[in-house]
Amino acid sequence: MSDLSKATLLKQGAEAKIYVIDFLGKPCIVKERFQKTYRHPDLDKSLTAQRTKSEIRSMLRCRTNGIRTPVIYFVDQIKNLIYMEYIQDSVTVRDYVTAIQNNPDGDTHLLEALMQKVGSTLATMHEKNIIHGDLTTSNMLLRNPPEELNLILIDFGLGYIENLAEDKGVDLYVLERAFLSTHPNTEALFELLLQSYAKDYGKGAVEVLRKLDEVRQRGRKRTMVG
Amino acid sequence: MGLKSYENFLGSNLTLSIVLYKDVRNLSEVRKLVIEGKFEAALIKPSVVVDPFQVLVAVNKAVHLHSNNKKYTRTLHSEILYSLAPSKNISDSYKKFGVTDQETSVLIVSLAEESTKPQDFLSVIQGQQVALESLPEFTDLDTVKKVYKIPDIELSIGTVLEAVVNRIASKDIVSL
Repeated sequence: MSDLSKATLLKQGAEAKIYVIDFLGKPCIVKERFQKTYRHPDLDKSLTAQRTKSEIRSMLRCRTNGIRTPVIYFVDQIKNLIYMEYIQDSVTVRDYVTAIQNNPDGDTHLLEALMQKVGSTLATMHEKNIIHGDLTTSNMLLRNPPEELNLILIDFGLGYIENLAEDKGVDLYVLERAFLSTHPNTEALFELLLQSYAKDYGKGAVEVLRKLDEVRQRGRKRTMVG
Repeated sequence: MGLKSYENFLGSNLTLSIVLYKDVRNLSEVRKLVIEGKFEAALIKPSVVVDPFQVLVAVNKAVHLHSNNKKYTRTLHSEILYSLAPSKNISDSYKKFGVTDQETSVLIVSLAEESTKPQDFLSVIQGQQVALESLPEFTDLDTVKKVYKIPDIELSIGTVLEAVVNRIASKDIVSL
């Protein structure tokens, strides 16, 4: 495959580097999980391979259940690279919310509709036992024009498949923390998101929301005592 | 005319050629030449291909596994057929994606060093070359959806090509 040393580096996070390339005529990003020198090499290798697989699994399961995620073009399981669709012509939910909030004539109905969309999308996702692992408004994109609410979930780097209310509760908690700190005075909006989540999730929602309450009390990490 | 080539495919010294034929009268003869190894090519059923990009993704994967000695099948061209299929069953993949003697149209994919031009091979084929752009006319979408197990809900958020490419790229990791 093409040589990444010549590719444009788009972003570097704690887990991976993101490059932009042309993949057989399509705009493409390459996610490279680099080696962590602080980990034992064997452990690092197996963790990286596992996470790459988990990420692919979560993305594919989303799509087969009607949640838009980037198209996967190629997985290099030797170098742990994921080649996927580079989604252009979109805004992050984060920027969209901020723009509406900062606009004195901003239409709050737009925000309400958005919260309902996000809530019901996450309900489907959790119903299918997909845990995103890093839900933030930056990891949600809206294809232009954003009013049409074509929601795309990205960065399943910490994603996995699990049918535990606890993990789903934590997933929502991470989003709540990120949401309220990024967008001030949005408690009521977030409540709307949870309502729409509960409505679309159906039976299992009660338990997840109870877990969310529990996690709010104690924080993301489970206590090790007792 | 209908032949599309990609020189130095993926930075290798190989040239990828893709060509579509219809009304082929001697497909059994052509198949025999490929099976005997006289010509190196993958003979694909056009009915299960929605777009040339689908083929490119499969070829890319086959080349990657070939150059890392991780092929699942014997040759690079059989690997292309196998890569194209969503199934991990090799003979099932050949059956669903390879042409049979009964068919009259064929998508020929060949990866070769530049010195060996595919012309010799193509001269054997008794049929009509058609532009690759008309590939959608040969696609049987119902069969594609069935073979790749694409639920309708997935098509509410993406195209058939996207669904197909996703499955080709991830079949070693996820089985649907």
